[in-house]
Amino acid sequence: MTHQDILDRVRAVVSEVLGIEPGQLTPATRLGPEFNVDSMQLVTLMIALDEEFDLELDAEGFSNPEITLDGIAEAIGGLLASAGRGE
Amino acid sequence: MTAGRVFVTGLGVVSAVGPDTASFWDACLRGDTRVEPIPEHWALYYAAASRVWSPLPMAAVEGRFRRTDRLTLDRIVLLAIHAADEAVRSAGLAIESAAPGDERHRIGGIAPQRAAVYVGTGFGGAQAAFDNHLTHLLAPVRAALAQAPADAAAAPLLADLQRALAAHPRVHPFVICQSMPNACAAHLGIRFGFKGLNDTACFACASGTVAIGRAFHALRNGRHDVCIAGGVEHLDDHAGSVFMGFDRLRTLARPANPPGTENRPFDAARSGFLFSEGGAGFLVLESERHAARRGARPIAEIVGFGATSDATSIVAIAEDDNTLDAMLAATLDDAGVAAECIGYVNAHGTATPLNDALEAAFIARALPHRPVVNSTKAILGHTIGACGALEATVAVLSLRDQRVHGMPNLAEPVGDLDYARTAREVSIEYALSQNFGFGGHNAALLFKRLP
Repeated sequence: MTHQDILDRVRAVVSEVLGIEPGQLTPATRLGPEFNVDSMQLVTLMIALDEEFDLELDAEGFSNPEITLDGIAEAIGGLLASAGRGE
Repeated sequence: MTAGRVFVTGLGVVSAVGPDTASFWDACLRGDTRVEPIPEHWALYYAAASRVWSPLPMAAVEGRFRRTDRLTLDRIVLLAIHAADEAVRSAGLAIESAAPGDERHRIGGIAPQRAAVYVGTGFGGAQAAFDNHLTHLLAPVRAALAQAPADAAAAPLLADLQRALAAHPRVHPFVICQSMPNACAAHLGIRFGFKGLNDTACFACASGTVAIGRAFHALRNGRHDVCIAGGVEHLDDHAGSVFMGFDRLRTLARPANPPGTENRPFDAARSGFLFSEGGAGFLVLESERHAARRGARPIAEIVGFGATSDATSIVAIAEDDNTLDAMLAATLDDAGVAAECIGYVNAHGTATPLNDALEAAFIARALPHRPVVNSTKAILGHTIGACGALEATVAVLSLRDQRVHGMPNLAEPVGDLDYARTAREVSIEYALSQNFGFGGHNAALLFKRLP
């Protein structure tokens, strides 16, 4: 799975869980400041991404409202690679 | 404010025999039941004397929810919302759909501060606590579990623990929100924007009964315009802990011949109750004025509620006491109705040896005019905190349709009551639904037919 593939899936999940139009989401979108996403919503996004990619994301990263789609995709790519499920 | 009449204007159900009110009621009248072997892996943890349970159609329920709801809400909350949604829709209340990703659906045409939620549940979020506790214990030893030496006797158990951990790899971030007993009531309030009292009744097997009774009294006293009231239970934690607990108390149905006939309320050969995975029943209760103002069509009237406490035993129903008589007297007095007006009793009828013997004797003594009697547990088994609400729903439907359901395995009845062995037409004005819970809780509701 390429970084772009992961990013596309992350964008779809963010859109579904947070109710944001995919067209409004770029890799640099900061969810907290730009869309008023609160900590409960970020945790919900984290467990949805856990399910989507069948892994366990680090909760610490999702406590930061400045989190970006690109940052999420990078963290997922790292976990997939260390599990031998990377590109 | 003066006391007013209170109507049932909506019904919603999730049960083992149907995921909505119509399919549930059809199954009751046909005498359909769902009795299946307990999950095989439960035997790894405990050798239970009972071997059967009645599972719910969970795929049908979970399948209608968004991923966000499925991932954040425990299954008991999904059951509550599923049934309450149906109740609200069937009452003709306009549900305005939420924005994507938003749990909140607003209801048009009501005053939110005058709308309340009353939920009865026996175990509440206990299942979420059990399952997350399992993950909490296993996650730190994940690696050791995977490399555990293959002791032949322990291997299946270790493999099952690995499966449990794979299914729930992390303690849920919302474990507290899921396991607190008031989770269902709170989520119903959030979903529908009901801002009046949000009440959780915890009365074991009488929880749903008391929740409906409390809502009725508050409506009659003018505190609310409209309530969602009912009961919910879900008891399918990974290791079957609650099933095992009831089995240790020797309250569950023993194996029978032929298999499938284990569940026998009010029968001489009864051996305990059929454990149900759970279910939910919700009623929309509404003041007469509010129902009339919005042109709602009432299904039945709720006219009485009474409750007493044995104050004797944490498990057993009191044998030589008058608390059931006092419960009935309180209910009739609440309604201003004479005992002989009761045409139908939806009994607690668990199929434990003690309950059914005492309850049959009580009905014979207190209601000698021989009202028709059945137990909806003959169809569903025991849904614990939900049973009072599901049985109240049956009482309402029986009044509406002037039909009562039968009891499929009743061969040799306990006592000389007018049991409905098969579904039959009846002519009834008042229906009594009564439940008795561990802890000595006795509660009854009285419903009246509307022309």
